[in-house]
Amino acid sequence: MFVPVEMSEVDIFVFENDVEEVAQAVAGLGVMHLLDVGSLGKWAEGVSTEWTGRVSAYVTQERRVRELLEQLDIPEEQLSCEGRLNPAEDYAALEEEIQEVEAEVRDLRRSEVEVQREIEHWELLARSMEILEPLSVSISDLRQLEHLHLVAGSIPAENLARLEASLFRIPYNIIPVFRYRGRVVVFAFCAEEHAAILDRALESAFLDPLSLPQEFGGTAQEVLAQVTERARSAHEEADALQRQRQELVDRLRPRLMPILMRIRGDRAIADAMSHFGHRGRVYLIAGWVPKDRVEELRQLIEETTEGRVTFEENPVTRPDDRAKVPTLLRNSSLFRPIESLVTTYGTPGYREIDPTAILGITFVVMFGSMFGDMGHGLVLALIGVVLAYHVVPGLATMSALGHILIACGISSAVFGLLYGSVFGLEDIIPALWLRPMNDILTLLLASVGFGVVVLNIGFAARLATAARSGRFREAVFDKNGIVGLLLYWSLLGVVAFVALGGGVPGWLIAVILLLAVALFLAEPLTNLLMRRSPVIHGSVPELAVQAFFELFEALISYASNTLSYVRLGAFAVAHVGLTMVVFLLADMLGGGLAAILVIIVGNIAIIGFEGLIVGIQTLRLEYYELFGKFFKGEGIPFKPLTLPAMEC
Amino acid sequence: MAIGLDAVRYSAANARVKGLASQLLSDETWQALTSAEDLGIALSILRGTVYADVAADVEAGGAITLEDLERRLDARAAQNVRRTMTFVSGAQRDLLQVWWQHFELENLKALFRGFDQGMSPDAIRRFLIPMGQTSRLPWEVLLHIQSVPGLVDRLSGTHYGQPLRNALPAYNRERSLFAIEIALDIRYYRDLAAAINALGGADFDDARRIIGTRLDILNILWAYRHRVYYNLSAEEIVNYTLWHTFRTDTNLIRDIALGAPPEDILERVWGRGSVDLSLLERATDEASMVTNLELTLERFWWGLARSAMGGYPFRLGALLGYLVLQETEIADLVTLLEAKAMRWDRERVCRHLVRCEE
Repeated sequence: MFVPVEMSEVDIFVFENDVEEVAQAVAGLGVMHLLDVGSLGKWAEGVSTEWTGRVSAYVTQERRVRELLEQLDIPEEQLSCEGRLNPAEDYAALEEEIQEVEAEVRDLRRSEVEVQREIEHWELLARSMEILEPLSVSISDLRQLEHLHLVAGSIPAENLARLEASLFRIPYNIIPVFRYRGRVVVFAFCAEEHAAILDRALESAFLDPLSLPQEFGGTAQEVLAQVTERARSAHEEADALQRQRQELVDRLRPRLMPILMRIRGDRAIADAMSHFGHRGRVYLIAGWVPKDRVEELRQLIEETTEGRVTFEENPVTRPDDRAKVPTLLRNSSLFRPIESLVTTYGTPGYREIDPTAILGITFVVMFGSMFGDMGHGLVLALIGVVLAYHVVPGLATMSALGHILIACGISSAVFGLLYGSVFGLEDIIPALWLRPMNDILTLLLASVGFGVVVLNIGFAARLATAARSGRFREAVFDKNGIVGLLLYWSLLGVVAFVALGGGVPGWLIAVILLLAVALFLAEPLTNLLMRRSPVIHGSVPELAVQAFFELFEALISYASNTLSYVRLGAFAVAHVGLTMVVFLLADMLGGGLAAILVIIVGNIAIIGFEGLIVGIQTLRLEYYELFGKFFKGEGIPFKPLTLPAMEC
Repeated sequence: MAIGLDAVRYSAANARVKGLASQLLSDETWQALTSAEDLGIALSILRGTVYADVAADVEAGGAITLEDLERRLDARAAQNVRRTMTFVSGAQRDLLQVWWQHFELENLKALFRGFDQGMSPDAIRRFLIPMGQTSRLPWEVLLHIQSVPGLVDRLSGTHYGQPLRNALPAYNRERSLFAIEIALDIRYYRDLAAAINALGGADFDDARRIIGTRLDILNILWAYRHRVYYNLSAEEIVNYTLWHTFRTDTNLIRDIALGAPPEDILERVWGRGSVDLSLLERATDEASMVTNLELTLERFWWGLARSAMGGYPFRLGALLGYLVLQETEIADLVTLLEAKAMRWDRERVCRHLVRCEE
């Protein structure tokens, strides 16, 4: 629980004929974090770009299929795919299928666009006829004007002024009739002899003519009836296309999803293949595997290759193994949601302590102590339940936050019991420990006491990390190492003696001086201990100045780190103060509905804003005061080769 | 005060641009390249320059065609624009972003041409400038649409959507991409003018002088091309050019459409003696007049960029000047290598290069 999962480096040597099967088996088990090609030494020379090319080909196919799904409004879903993956040969068959589907969708889309255009055309005509309706002129007469050339159509609205500017050689008249989706419907006239000039000008202004079929005749009113009829039949066609689309969706859904799944599987395998080294006909698959899963992997590979394999397991021996060992955290389900708070800071190094459990316990306790209120806590826990158990489907991704809120809410409720506070009301239940407002000093001292405990955990974790990475001797004279810890305890001893009213014993002062000197001389002493030379880098005065400031900074940080925890108590007091303000405001309104409203809104604000601030403060205490002691977070996360969520 | 602020704002950018500009081919190298007897010698000269990798690829058994070469050089130019974008911020960066989009525009036109000619995705891909992750358009997906209306439909959500929708009926009627390409160009260059207008003070002056001049040049060239090559009417020429640029307007375009000679037009736009008209005097017919006009204006623009690079360094002009010089160099290089593959001599090559003393 307190350390990352132990890893082994596994090298699998297989023949060319078996490599794809093995890759699939490895990906299916999902326990191997592949080594970077650059770490394969001479084996990397055989890595070809052929597989990288296949990866990009599959990526393109995936994009195309997703585009098809989007066009058809088909949501993605996880499915199992049938048959074994064959990334070297699947591409062609998949391409054929995709092209077939693309052609079908393209045809449908083309028809939809055409019908939409037709609807727009008839609607524009109808509106134009409505304008001509009062004239009672026969449309056929307008068509057969002897001396006048008339054109009706729509142009982009932005082109109208330029069109008029372009017609500088002929007399003309352009009547804008109405605007419609960024276009303007115009009636343009000129003398018949200038018809060619007007037509070419209109065309170059991107005119879309409102042409009337020859069979349309009669007055504008009669034509309007005919046009309306055409518009209605175009709408019917659009409805038919909508049904056709639904049929296509129903037919293609079961076809497209398996295609997508297969593409993703093939891409994953091709990606893996691009990481394998090879020399001649032998491939090397190298990576990190959790030690307790190596045997399972070995058996699977031997079965897959029928024994044609060399399987080597190399334990991690040195911190500088040929590649950085990835970190796999394995915490109990109770602490797993907290992992996200740890990885937000950084992934623990393979040889670092996994701080998840420490953070899990201290975070929840500190949050509760700062936000101690039974009512508010239970509300928070309830919100947590909603998020954690997917009560609202749209918030499914916030499950981890939900679990954290449940824990923090329960902790707040427990502290609410200890403080005797329910929704800010201090007189409903008795305080099992103390009331923050009435006993501030005790609360602040208890907070600092808690901080001392947390910081000691930090010191212990620092020493454990040093021991795990084989650098224990380097930690002896560190400000957060053994000497630092002893100095911290000694200083606490001084505080305790003074607080109890007694004098500070001389031996304690001597110990403090001795430890301070040791910390002052940390660098040369560490070099001596590590048998490094030279013992002193640079000149002695330089070292003295640097050592002085480091010692000073260490002493300051012990004090500031410890006193930082005063905020646990301070926020508990602030919480009571805030709720008092809410009730004061309600009292000023003299009761009634308004007062109830103020109490409700006030409590919501406290839960929302104060809850957020307390959460941030708690995280600050964890990251700066605790993690700063021992945690670097420079590890790389364990990312095993896996197939997408499906079974192939 | 303003100059002092500019110096602070552009000092880092200037240092980086100077670094990039030092990679441009020197006059001596360029002289040697134009005088090279054949492609082999030209490539051996390029091996000692920043284009060594390209030269090596061309030499490696002809695996790379001259079209591939052009594409790779364009990709390099596009990458350089992206790189310079990181040197500035705000409206200056927006301008460079729009400027960079002309590579995207070229790719879109290549897609339309490919679909119009029924080419396969693999065949069209050869004409696309690799945009990497920098373009928001999914090129690989677009390649598989395979129809002009389909591509217009797919681009409907982008800022190219409206102009393409306007031009599609003309394409459907005439099966010619002319209207589509014009619509895309007009939209793009309007965006570019808007990006220049969003700048203020000295930045606006610089952008107007360099990029704004490009708009003036294009508007004039389009008008002449429409008149001479496509035989369009005056009304069509007005509609198929930009409404107005920084120095051109509808009156000027109308005059070009009605047959005004280029010498008069250039004098009206930039004043007497600003543009070297010697090439125009050599034109024997309308077609050669347009070709010579193109080269005249490209050389004029190149000269502006060069003087911007050589002027007060802590201005946007120096950065824009560099971009123009490097894009012109790449265009010239492609022409030069193609010419040397046909063993053209210096004099003949020079007639087609922006950077060449004849």
